[in-house]
Amino acid sequence: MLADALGDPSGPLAGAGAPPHDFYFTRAAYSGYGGYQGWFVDYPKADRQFLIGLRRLTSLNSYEYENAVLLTDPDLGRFPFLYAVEVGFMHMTDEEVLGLRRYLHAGGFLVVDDFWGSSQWANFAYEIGRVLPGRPIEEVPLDHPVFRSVYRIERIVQVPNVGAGIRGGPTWERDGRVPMVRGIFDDDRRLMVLVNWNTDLGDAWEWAENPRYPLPYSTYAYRMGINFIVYAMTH
Amino acid sequence: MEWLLGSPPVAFAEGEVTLAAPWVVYGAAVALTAVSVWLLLGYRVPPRRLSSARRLLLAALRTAAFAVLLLCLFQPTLVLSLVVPQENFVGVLLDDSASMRIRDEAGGEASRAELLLAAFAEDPAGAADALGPALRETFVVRYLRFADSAGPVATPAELRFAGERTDLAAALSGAADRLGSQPLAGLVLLTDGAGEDAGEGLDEVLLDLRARGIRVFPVPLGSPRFDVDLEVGALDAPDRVLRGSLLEVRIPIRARGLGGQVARVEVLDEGRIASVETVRFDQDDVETAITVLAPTEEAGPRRFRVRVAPAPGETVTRNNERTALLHVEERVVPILYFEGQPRWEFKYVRRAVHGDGQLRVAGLVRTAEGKFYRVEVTDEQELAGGFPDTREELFRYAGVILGSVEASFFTQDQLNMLRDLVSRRGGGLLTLGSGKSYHAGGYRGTPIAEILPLALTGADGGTEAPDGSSSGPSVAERNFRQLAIAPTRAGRTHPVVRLDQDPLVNQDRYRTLPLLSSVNLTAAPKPGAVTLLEGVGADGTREPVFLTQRFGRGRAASLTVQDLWLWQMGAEVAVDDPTHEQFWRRLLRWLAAEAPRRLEVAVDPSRPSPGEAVTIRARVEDASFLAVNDVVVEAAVTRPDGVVEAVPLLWGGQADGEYVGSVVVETAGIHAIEARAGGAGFADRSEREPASAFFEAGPPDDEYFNAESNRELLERIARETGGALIAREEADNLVERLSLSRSGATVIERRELWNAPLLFLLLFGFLGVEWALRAMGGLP
Repeated sequence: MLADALGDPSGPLAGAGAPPHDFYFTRAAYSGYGGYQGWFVDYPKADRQFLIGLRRLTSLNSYEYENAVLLTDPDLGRFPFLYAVEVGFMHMTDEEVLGLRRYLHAGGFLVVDDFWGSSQWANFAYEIGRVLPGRPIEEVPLDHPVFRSVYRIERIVQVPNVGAGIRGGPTWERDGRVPMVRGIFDDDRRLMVLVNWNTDLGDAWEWAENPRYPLPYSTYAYRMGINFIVYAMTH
Repeated sequence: MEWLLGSPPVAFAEGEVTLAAPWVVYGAAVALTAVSVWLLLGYRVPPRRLSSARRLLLAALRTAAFAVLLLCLFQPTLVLSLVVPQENFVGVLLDDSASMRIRDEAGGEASRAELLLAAFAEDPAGAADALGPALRETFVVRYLRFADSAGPVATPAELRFAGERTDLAAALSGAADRLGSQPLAGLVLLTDGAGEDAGEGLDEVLLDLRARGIRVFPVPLGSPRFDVDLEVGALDAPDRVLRGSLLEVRIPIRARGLGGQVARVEVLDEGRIASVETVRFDQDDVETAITVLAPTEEAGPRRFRVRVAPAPGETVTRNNERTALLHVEERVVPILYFEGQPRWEFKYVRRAVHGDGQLRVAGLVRTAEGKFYRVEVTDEQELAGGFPDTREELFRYAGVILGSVEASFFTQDQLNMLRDLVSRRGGGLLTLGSGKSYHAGGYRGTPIAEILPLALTGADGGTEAPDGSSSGPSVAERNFRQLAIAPTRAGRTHPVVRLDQDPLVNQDRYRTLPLLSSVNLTAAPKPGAVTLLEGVGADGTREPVFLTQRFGRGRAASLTVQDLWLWQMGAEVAVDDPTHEQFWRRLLRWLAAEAPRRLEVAVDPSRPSPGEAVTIRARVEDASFLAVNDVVVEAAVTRPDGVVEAVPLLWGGQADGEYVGSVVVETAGIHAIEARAGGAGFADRSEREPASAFFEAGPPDDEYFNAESNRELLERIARETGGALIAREEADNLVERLSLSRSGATVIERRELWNAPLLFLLLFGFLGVEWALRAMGGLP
């Protein structure tokens, strides 16, 4: 079913013979409760918009289109950067758990975004606990290299969804009033999973071209995204 | 022959044949010739039944008979210079080395030493032809023993056959010096000529003996070829290796009589088996070599022993093993990895070497134009200005990896510096495949292209689509191909490429690895480059993928694939599969670990005997690796008993940057040398750590190597001094030759030859045949 949802991906594996680019902005396609496809939120516009900025602001040789991959896809490892949204409604199958576990243990990097409040947190914590049992989710301090890799991030900003952003507030949803960046580290203290909680970087990318969407949020979201990718590609 | 000639043939070789007849005899000869001519004319008008050929033959026979008669009339005389009995000396040099204990005489029943002693026994039981008595009958015999040292002995019974080395040069020159002032008939050399360096330094000694007219008569002992034997040749291994690296040892093996059999070769690190290989011998007489890779797990001076399991019936088993003292180093090798853009390869190389305490890969990534991100730097200054633009800064690294970066990024000076890093500093350069490497990166004609093992020739592949339009697939897209990676023949035994000791497992491991991709034009290896991995395309075409070559003092290596990280992330690879880590760690160690440091120290010889002097040589270079001659260098030599001796090393003025000192070894065991350099030219803090080296002093271990009797060497000694090779049983021949040797106290002896039976036989032979022919022809 999930595979159907991917439709005819314009991903890199289409068009045989196309050389793999150095980077694919890859979205994790996972199962949700009751067939809800939370992973699909803002797809593919957010991805494309972000890639426009990424290609302009860095020397990265990145593929210009979205690339959604199933967690059960054997080729998942070919895309060592993975972006997942709406994980508050995530409900992975056992196969997906195994696929993601293998991916993260081999050296893949997962960025989680756009989920709000304590109940969604609880769900995500439960789901990621199935993938990486026993590994705590910790605060990522602002002096961590992930906040220094390209841009210097001085504070964590709460990026609202597009509606709230255009309306001018409030920036939070549910009871998620404080934005946080948390992470799961491997044995060598390298980040494996980066969790953006109570914030929606994806919307800030998606609506960056909208004159009514506040530019500072987009600027911040781009900086964060680029930092995450450069960190993932260097650590 | 002796009966025929009236004297032994050797007398003719040594003596001179003259004609002693007075002038009247010559007059008679003329008359005789006239008579013979008249007689021959008698055949001129022969009866018709004789053919002309027969006539000619008869004439020839008669002439020959007259010639023999004539020769007798001329009184041929052999003039000999014979030594005066008991007034001349013969030096008998007796090999007292350990190899004389080898039991390869009399079908393995007797040792070489036993035969030597039997030949010189005071009272040889039933051995009337023994050398000793025969020599003593005519000469004053002086015995001299030799092995690693030489000296006189009263009787051969004093020999112990325990010398650890055979020094023929010292033995011969010592004997010549000791006996040269006496009337010396010659030297008799009883030896097997065996031992690794038995012939060392002989050239000069032989020349001296020849000039002094001293002949040497070697009497070879031992078998020139063992029936069954395995011998390990001199090991080819580096002096030092970084801990955790694979030690590459090339082991020459000589096998005798083991055709079709297999031998097990073990490499032991201080007694612990580190690696095992097998070697098969195709023929009975084989000299082969195998390369064994052994892990090095502990740092410090380590004895690596190579052992070949003895074959049944081997004559000598002590030549089945060799030991090398290696310095397993514990230090950090700094490497710079520069990427022109963020790439996964960068991340996974860093992950692969993470936890390898011996490698520090400082990373520099160009994240945007003019913007760089540094990782694993030691301080704020390191790489702060981007890619190094001084030699001092670049040469801090023992190796450089260039990722996806175009040639135009670098200044001409930086390109030259990269070449010098390899050629002059002795570092390693590794280039990776990418859309900005090789042809695509515009490296043709740059100093980098000089270093690369790939020849960047031919077209660049263009920058546009084939139809000339700017749309369509890019160059990288057109060149993109996926390749199955396989080791080449050279790669199978290479410390980087060999993933498993078992060749079949090794092959399987490569077969199961994910395909990799390349976007670079295929390029041919340069002459002298070695291809270690090749890629097999979907259509079966093969191309070099991983190549190396030496360039100047250093190494260059090129990978043409762009995504080796798939060996870590590919679905085909298990999460805990070590291939990716192993490959990168070994590659980077191989690339850079042997790069010299600014201060290096070495010793010569590497295995001295106690009492021998060892030369300590240090090489000092400044931060840009130019030799410096004005620093203060001192070595501290720590003896096995813990005593430390300070040895100043001085610039000798012979080679730039080379400082020399020496120390006399007093005790056996491992000695540690730590050299330090100081002074104005060496003030840079980055390389102030001392350089160290080790050597082990002890008795040489070469008696059982090349232990077969060395006839070639002994023949050479005989030939160059005018002597001869004498078999042990030829005592009379030896005495005869010595008696005729024209040196020592001699008398002239004239032996008339007219009565030699040969002449009579010839005379009667010629006449007899002539008569028979005439009789057959019916002539009177």
